[in-house]
Amino acid sequence: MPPAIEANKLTKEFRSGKVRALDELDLSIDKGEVFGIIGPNGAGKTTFMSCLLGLLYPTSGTISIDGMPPDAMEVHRKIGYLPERLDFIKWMTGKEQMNFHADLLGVPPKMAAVEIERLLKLVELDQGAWFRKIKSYSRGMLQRIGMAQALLGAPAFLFLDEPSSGLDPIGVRLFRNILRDLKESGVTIVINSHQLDQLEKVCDRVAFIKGGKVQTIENMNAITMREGTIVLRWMVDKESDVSKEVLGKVVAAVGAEVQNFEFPQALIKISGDEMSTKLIHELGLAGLPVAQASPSAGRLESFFDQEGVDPNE
Amino acid sequence: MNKSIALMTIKQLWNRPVRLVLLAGFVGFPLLIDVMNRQMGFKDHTSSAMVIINTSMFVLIIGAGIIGQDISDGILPLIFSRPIKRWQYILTKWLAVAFMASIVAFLNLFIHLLFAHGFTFELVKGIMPFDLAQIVLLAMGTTSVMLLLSSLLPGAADVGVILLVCAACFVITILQHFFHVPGMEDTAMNVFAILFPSFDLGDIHSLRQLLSIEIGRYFAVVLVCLSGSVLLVNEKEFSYGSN
Repeated sequence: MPPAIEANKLTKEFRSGKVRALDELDLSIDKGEVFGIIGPNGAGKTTFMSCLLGLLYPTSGTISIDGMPPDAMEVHRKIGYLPERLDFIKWMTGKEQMNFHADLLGVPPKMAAVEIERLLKLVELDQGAWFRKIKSYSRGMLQRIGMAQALLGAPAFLFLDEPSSGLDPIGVRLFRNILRDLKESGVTIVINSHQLDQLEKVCDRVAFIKGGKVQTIENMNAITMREGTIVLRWMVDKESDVSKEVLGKVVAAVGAEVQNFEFPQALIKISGDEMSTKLIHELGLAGLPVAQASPSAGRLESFFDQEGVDPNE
Repeated sequence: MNKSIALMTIKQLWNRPVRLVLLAGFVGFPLLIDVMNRQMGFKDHTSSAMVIINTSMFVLIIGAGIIGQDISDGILPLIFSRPIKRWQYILTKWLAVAFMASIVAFLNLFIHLLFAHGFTFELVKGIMPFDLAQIVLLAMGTTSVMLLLSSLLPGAADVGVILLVCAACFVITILQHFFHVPGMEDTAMNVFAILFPSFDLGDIHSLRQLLSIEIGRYFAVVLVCLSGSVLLVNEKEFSYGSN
């Protein structure tokens, strides 16, 4: 199956070549894939997104969406875009904004009315805000209306730039669920974000971009198998109920390592998911049943820690 | 022509109160002069020609930042991510602003004639089809110039440039009148003819007269401005990132 999005030696220079935002970037994204892009500020993430939308013209190299150039009208009919900078037409109300974009997409008015109501409810934008001018919206409300307009016309490709920025935890979870549903319906999603924990929950693969180049592309399922640190917690009254000696022996027996023990929790270095499962099982058998076990950092964060890479610097 | 962009452009005006006040001022001021003339016993009224010339002023007020303001407001990247060609956006903006300026100019002419003649047959006679066509010509011509300047300049700087050039023309005209520098007035008139392109429809009595310099200049200016704007906006790159 041909890739949904393909960039070949994509280069974008600014200021007559003094700044090279993208440097022969190669990337291939499959149909129906949720693809994350991370990297420090100035890495070229937004430049790449702008090239995808046909807003920036590559200096050299090619980029294609569904086999077509990004500025083809056929492509623009299939894409939804949530920008990082939510510069909407401020004098419009939320509903007017939605109608405007539905009109630009050529959605028939009757269908648009139903679709707009469904989407505004989907993103849980307060009904009172539907008829309020956008200039009075909070950042979270802007993010919700932004997501709603991006979903207009049932796009086959969704480009999201920092989608959960400014959202409250409920909104973050809501967006994540929306993305999961979209993935199930086969939408190809590209997410540009700094929030590693959010990316790892929805993405199939994540590319780390730095200096305009793809440094590494990680499959989220593969990252699960790598080493990391887990936090074990016991629900007991006295410190003496958790024997340090027994804990040390069991941990050593499964090949793990105690990094820190501060009652009632311990930080254990493990080499993979399999080891953590075995450790929890063995601790139970040894009379130290664990009440709670969780990774000390997100999978993606742990991965970058191991690689010695700070995705935000 | 894109319906959504046209409607957006028209609604944009209603959401800019300063411009509405200015429009009201430019419609109301000549009427105020007429009222004062009447009070003082003069029978002269502001001429229809003067009212038509005001069309350019309406274009400047309505069309200020016709493209530059949208760029400065940051709304274009999202609009251009939709299935709309950039030339469609530009031509729609041109037609929408010219249409609005024409409507305001028609209303202005109508109010002016109503004040001068009351509800009489003279009022109907005063509205010449040529005047209406003249208004549309001037509105479309001036809007095309604004469009080109707005493609080059941010915000509403296009109006600033036009006013600056007008001021310069005024100065060079003074040079001829007071210091007898030859050719200055002609230069100023030519610059004005480019800034506010139009031609007198009353001068056309036969098909041959369509080949006049004025008509040629009008279409040349409008075409150059429109194609220049399309070229400039097509070349323009938009990004939310820091370039």
